[in-house]
Formats: sequence, C-alpha cells, structure tokens
Amino acid sequence: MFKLNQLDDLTLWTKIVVGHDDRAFEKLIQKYQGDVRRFFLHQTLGDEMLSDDLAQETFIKVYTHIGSFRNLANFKTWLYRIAYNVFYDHTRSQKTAVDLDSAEVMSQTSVQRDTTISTDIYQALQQLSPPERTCVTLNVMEDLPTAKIAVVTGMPEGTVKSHISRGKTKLANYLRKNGYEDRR
Amino acid sequence: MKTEDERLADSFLKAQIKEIPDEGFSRKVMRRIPNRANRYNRWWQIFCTAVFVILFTLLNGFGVAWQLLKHGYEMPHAISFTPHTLMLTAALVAVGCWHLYQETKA
Repeated sequence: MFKLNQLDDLTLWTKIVVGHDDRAFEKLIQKYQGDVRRFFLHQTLGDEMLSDDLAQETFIKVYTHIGSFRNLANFKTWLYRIAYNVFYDHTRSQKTAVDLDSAEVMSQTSVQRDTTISTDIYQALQQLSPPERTCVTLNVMEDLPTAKIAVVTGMPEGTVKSHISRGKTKLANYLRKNGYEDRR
Repeated sequence: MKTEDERLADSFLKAQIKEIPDEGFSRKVMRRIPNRANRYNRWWQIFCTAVFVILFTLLNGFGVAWQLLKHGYEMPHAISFTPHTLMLTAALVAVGCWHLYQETKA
C-alpha cells in the first residue's frame, strides 16, 4: 500500500519520466536535498564543499537513470543507494583511500567544516569505521531499517546489524568519556 | 529491547539532526543536468534549420539549384556568384557544420 509521501514521489516520477517535466525534477531535489546532503556530511565528517559536490553528482545520476527506476515504493532507498555508490566511487578514486574500511581516510583529508552544525557530531562519528558510520547514521539519523540499509550498501543484513551494534557501543563509550551523559 | 549504549548513542545522534536549507542547491543541480543542455542544442539546431529554410526560399534557392543542375555541369563559368548565392552557400555551410559538430559531440 502506498503512503502519501510515496504517492507524491510517484506523481513527480510520472511527470519527470512521462512528461519530461524539469520543474518536477527540481521539486524532487528540493524534497530530498536535505537528506542526501546530510548523508554526505556525515560520511565526509562535515566537509561541506565535498558533500555538496557529491550530492550534485547523486542527483545528476538520479536524473539520467530515473527512467530505469521501477520500484516506486522504495524511491528513498534507491536514492540512498545511488548516494552510497557515489561516495564509494569517490573514496576509491582518492589515492589515499585504499580501502573503505580504513578509518583514517577522512581524518587525513583537510576539510572545510560545516560550521552551522556542531562539530561534536563529527568528532563522535570519527570514532567509527566508514561502514559503521554509514550504517549507524542511515539507521538513526535517516530512519532506515536494517533491511533497507542492506539494500543501500549491498551488505548482508546481519553485517549491517553488527556494524550498527558495534558503532553504537563505540559511540556510547566515546560520549561517556567526554561527559555527554552528564550533560543530558 | 534497547541496551544503555544504544539509548545513549540514539539520543545523541537524534539531537544532532538538523534540517539543511536548500539555499540555491537545487538550482545549481538543474544547471548541470545533461539533457537540459542537449535540449538547448536541439532548439539551436531547429533555429538554424528554420533560418536555412527561410533563406533558401526567400533567395530563390530552388531556382538557383535548378540552374546549377541544368547548366552548371556543362558550363561552370556561366554561374554568377551574386550576394544571394553567397549567402545561401554560407547558410548551407553553417547548418552543415553545426550538424557535423553535433554528430562528433554525440
């Protein structure tokens, strides 16, 4: 059964694919730009410029492939999957990034931080490995269930659950060490 | 049932969720859309073709072409290059070049 939000996506999709309506695509960007840019901000630990570049690339890929997209109930999952692949390709293209599992990748690059969001979040997320960071942020901050995160990342659901569990434990330990519990 | 670690991590992360304002982002993406650029090219192509057709008709292109076919092969020196024929040739070459450019770009 379609939800109201999915019906809205379906209407926009029809206008874009059948009617070649650019304004409908712009509405789609406006609707999801916050989610996609936030996703990249978390993965790049607050590198605002890089996040916006990757988000732009994601939406251009969405535009060029939207005709082949069929599973209309899962537009957001498909969008995150493209975003994840864009990020994965970007990380692989970096000479310093040999492996997505390398926790040092993002901490080594000089980043232009997003000053509008507290840097606490990025310091905390830096404690996690990239796969843990992706799974935890998608699960908690973007509200995706583990089954959908598995579709987005291409990991088995069990692996996603392990990453989330390990990531949250690491985060909790970091927060306790930094007195976050007392501030609550 | 959530563990204490999960509760702590969740409450911290959820408190950090911020809405990101568009601030011209969607406009920037729209400017980079590839099909849109192609569409402008297509309009330009249509415009060039229309200009060519109008010029060809106004400057009696059919008559010139007929004369060229009728006498040009036998007596090429008999064809006089008036400003009209020169303009027609220039229009033809321009449209041809544009199509070639589009083909090589594709």
